[in-house]
Amino acid sequence: MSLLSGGGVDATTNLNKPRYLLEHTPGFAPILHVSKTVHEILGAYPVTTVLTTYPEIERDRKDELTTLATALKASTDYAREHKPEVIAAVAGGNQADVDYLNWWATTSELRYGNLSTPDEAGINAFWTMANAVGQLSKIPSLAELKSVAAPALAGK
Amino acid sequence: MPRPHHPAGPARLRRIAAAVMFLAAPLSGCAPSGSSSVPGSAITIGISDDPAKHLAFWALENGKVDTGGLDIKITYLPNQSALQAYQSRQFNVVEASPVGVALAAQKGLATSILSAGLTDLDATVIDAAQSSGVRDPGQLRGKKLAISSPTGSSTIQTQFVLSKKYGLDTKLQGGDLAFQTTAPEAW
Repeated sequence: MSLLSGGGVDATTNLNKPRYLLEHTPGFAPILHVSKTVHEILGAYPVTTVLTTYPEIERDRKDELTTLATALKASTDYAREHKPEVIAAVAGGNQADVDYLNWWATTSELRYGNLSTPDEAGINAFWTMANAVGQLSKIPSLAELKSVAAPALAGK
Repeated sequence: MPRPHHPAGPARLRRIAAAVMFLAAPLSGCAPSGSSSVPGSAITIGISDDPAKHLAFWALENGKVDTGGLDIKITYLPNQSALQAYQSRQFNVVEASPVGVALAAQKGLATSILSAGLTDLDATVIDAAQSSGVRDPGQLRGKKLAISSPTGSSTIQTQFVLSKKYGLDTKLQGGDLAFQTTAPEAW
């Protein structure tokens, strides 16, 4: 926090643990909730990571990929439905405390194993932003990039 | 009216080249042994490590959900290792940025999206020291803004919002703000 408090920078783009620590330190505060504002502008919350696979895996293991995605969705659902249990278990094992994990769960949503309409809108929102700021020359078609094992997830 | 955003020049080209090189190598090579395409073998997943992500896979790793008899092996990777894993096709399934997948596709390199990973509901913010006097994003013109990566998801969102809602030119170089890439530990 020395850069901010010392005036080396005027502000930071921040998320996850660094944000949590900063906002629990007197003298610092958010001046813009960026991802909420993305939702205001584009009507979708950005999906910032995806699970990807490769052509030969899809060719040879399509059914297993679908089974995997179904299991991942069940695991994600379990985390949401049994939050205190899962947070208590994870907090003991990887240096994240319960307070942080409870806070984190209010800022992000686990979507592993899901590819529903809001997920697709979130991926497209991310591509739209990347295109607008010059990191993508054109916005791709999600239909063309969706795994052959993914359609079974639609609408779930 | 917000000014249009036209990033160009060597800095942008270097970023794109780096991303393409990172993506091109894995997709033109052979799958290593850790990424078996043999049905019935373990399905391997590489996930970039973050404490919160363990929440998603805890039930799976602790026998709370039905895996249909599938042997699933999850490996948590430091961020840089996750990039390398994607490059080396080390896993059957690997976490990636949607932008990385799109860049690969534009180069004719095929990967496909199996599922979403994380959705950012309110994770990304701009923080300021109260002593800075900056209270509103519109006051960031001419100011220094620290970012963790020029191509990261939080940076892309920040550039987009400051441009669209606040009318700032958010080119990474030569715009209305001075972006400064710095490890979060230094903030």
